Amino acid sequence: MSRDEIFDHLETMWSDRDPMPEGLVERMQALVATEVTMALTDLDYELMMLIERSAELAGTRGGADTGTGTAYTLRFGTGDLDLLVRAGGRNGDDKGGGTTRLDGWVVPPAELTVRATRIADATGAVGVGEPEQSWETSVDAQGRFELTDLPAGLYRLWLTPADPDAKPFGTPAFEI
Amino acid sequence: MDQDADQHEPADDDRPNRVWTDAAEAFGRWLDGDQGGLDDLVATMTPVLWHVVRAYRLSPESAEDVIQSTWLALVRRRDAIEDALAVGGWLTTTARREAWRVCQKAGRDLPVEDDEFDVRMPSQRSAESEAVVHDERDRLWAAVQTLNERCQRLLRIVAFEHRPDYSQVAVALDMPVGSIGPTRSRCLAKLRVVLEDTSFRDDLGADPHDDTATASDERGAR
Repeated sequence: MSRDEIFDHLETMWSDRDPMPEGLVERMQALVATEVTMALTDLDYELMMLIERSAELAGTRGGADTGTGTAYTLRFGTGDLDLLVRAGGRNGDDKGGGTTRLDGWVVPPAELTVRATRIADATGAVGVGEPEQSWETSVDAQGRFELTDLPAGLYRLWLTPADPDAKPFGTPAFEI
Repeated sequence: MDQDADQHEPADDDRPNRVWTDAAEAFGRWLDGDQGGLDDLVATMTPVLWHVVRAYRLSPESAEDVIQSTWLALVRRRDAIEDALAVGGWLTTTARREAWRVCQKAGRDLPVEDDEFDVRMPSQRSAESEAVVHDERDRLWAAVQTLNERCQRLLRIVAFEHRPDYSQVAVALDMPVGSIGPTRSRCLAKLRVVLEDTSFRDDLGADPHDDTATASDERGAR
């Protein structure tokens, strides 16, 4: 067997054994679409990096049980700001069709408007022709905020300082 | 000794470069204003990025985060890519660096010496790897599981990137660039030995007298 044949077999093998999660391409397409939109508005923002993902939920994302009944924590950061996000278990019905609450904590506390945009539904599909869904709230004096009744899907958070000269912050996408 | 000659050879079939040329073509269309070009680029390269990143044994969640960072970086820094043909390599290199960074931050030791890592970290698929070996694919899988982690990572990266830039792979694997080719050859040689033991090659009609020594790799065995 030649070297290239072995690599062909290896490629097939890994594709079979460890396939991409369902909807990954669609989620990434939805993600780049939001980024292109941001670029077109000429609104420069500071991208927060995902620093930590709560370990206890490893393995549930993207699965049929995404989010059901379990809370998880994400920590995003830039040089200036830390953002802790906790997505709680589902509210509402037992069939998994309920909504999720999202609790956030900004360190240090700052006067910020928080907007959550739902860039794709749980399968990664983007609602064609639908207006972008978004939810807005403000950070309180302790740096905390909450958003309730969010349907499952792929989200990004945008944090806009009250100071019009300050750059807004944006998170990468995460599923709730 | 091991000069990995194929490093600079032109591709000897269509397969290796198709992904790169598809990616370059889609990227070029996007730069020309066609939004569909970006969707096509994502569809072409995301599967490659998945396997490159998963070669670091990141969890599916972390792997997806790394892939996401890679795509965000592309959109935000597209002007930095001067040659559209380079976009595939730019993406895999960015993804490997990020995967490496995440591994290090998680306190995961990436092996420096070749054979230090005979005891592998448990993978998510360990249950499957213990399954009864019943066909060629299972035999290949079982054979790969006997290799150390570095070999598995290197073979997976090379399999999906086809002709990776070895200087970049060296950075991402924390290896001297000159050792990548020889290490790859040793990994392939080990794999061939295990496969011979399990008759994989015979099942595929390969020449049972083919030399399994490292040197055969350098000839391309064509």
